[in-house]
Amino acid sequence: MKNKKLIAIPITMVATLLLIGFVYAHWSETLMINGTVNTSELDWEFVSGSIIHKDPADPATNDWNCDPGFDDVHQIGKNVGYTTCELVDTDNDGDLDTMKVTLENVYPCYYEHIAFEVHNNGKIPLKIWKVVINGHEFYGLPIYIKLDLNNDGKDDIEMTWGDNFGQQMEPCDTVDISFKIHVLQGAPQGASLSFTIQLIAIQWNEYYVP
Amino acid sequence: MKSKMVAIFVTLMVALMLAGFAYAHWSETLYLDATVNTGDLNVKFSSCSTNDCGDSNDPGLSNVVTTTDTADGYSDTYAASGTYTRYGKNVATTTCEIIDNYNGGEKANKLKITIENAYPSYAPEIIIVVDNVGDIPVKMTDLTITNAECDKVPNPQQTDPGKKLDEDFGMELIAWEVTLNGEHQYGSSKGHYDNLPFTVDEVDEGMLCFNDLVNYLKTVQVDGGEYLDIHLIFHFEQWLPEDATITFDMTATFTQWNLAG
Repeated sequence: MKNKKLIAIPITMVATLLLIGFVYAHWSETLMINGTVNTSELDWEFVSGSIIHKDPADPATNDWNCDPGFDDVHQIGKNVGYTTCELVDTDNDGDLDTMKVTLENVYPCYYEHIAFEVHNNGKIPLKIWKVVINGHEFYGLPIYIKLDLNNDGKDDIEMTWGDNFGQQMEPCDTVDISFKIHVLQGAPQGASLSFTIQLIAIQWNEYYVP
Repeated sequence: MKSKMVAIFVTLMVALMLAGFAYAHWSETLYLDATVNTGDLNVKFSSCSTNDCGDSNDPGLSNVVTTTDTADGYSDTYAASGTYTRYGKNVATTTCEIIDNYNGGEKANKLKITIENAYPSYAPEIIIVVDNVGDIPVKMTDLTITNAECDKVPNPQQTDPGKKLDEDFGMELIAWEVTLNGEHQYGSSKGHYDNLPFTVDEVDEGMLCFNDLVNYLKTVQVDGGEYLDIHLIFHFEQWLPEDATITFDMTATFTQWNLAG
């Protein structure tokens, strides 16, 4: 009887505490950390109006010719072919990201030299890393390549690239780049040939040459 | 005659009662005044600093070699090795600020860390000092990451906030150290890195690195008046989205030492 009473007392107490909302808890305290990361942006673009080349359509200009290997570059007395260069914002992000180069009515020996400016409009320094010409990667000079654009086994053009590999560009910096094209004897008549050049920059601290 | 005697006694007693007479034995009372002064469990951020608060060249990892670990269906690609270095430029900044009375709480109960212009390989060190300004020892019982969001990654693959930060947003904890009253206690790193600014006892912890930190902190008792330094190095990975804002919260719960489990 006595034992039953002893058991009943704590049970009654606990039940009472529960009924009145008693909460058994340890002490604790919370500290909060709030983190915000605003990431940077690597961005560059062609500079509008910066293209200079030897044989534009307007004003009409006499053609330039040269020998294989870019020897003996000289202006001739005729205006037969011409070259147009257009800068395009392909992804509508406000940056001119693509240069469309079209060589019209050109012929073996035709020579063109195209210079342009690029601008670091991002927030992080970058370095000019590599040039990819029709899938061929170049990380430094000299760059000289012959391309068979119609896969007939004969080279159609030869190209050489300018400088500035590894050049570091701070945000807002602008640098000049240029390349040369020469139409070779293997170029087909009446054809439309195309090729692509990709110019790739990398954040300055990740620059490497494989 | 006997009834007369009884009547007299009864009358006398009634008279005495009416007159307020108190019949008592001698007695004396001793009083014991008890006062309970309870302890105060109180921890606060006492300072926070970084190794790139704006006027120095950026810290980062160079010569990084990455690897991928997979466990329980989760793959983590991380910097397995590299050299902790200072780049030659000051591009990003990491700052922190102590905020009082957050959410109606105590003073210095919130820390705001802001990393600006972060980029892949940037790796700032953040040093957080927690003081036990209360009267009783405490232990950290929980450290959780919540509310991990990135405006440029609207549909992250991971649901766990920590994994989201790491694999979806490209931000990982690569090394940590805990000191107590300025004395090194323990540290570990995710991979093997040269030239870290503090000592680590374990390397190549892989995807367990953050869990190591949490588990170790749970073992450290901080007595009243003592302070705990937590050194954290975060590394930004190659898939860090550009021009993005990443936000996250970390919550540390400190509990009285004897009930800390």
